[in-house]
Amino acid sequence: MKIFSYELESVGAVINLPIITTLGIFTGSLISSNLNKEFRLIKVGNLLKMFFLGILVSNFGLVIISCPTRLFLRLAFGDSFSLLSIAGLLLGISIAVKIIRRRS
Amino acid sequence: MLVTLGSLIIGLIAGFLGQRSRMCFIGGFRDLLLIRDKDLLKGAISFFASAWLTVIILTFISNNFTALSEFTNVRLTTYPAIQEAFLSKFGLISILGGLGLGFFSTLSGGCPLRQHVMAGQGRVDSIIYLAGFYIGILIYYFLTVRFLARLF
Repeated sequence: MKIFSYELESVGAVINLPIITTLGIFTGSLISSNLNKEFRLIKVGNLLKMFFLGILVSNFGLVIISCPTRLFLRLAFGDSFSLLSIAGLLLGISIAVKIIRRRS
Repeated sequence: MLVTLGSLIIGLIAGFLGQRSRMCFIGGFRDLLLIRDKDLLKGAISFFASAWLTVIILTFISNNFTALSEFTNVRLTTYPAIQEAFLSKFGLISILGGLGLGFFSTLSGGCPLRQHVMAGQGRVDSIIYLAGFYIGILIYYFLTVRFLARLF
């Protein structure tokens, strides 16, 4: 797939079957919280706001082909684009922290 | 089959450790700026350090022991230099995308890894967040990528 005049190819083997690391993280956290008796169904904040925040984070993450976890893995491989993304990430966090401070 | 099973097992270990240590990349920088707490930032720094060390070790093995190079499978590509990347189109996209990712992740209270872990702990708002997260993939493929291809 060729977007923005760059060949967007994932590093690694040719994949026929899906990677289900996210399902594993969810299940591992479920097992761990049940073992340590920390599992509790609680509801914090506005649910509709969280739904739209999820859509926005997913879209911004797909544009730069990585979530924050993969951003650090790409930096370890020496990708120069991920360094620019981390600079933008820090700028975004500092803007959001200023907004949170003003609200409280 | 090996890829799927291996990713599931690695995800199980990562979820178990993430639930015990409350690890979060966004939360580390947010706590440093908001309440001057360096506890969560140690996780992000050690994650990057161990990933870097793994890349160095795997590159050393695949360069020196050709018999093992099928298993290590490191295919290093040459990336552009940082000045060249900064002036290109995808560099601009990287900065703007990272800015939006950091901003909206801080407002939602954690990076996607932390949200998956919190959904496993039973936080209802994180489960709703994940529903939006996976519906967002469809929205990206039907709307956002066409909008961006027209814009650039």
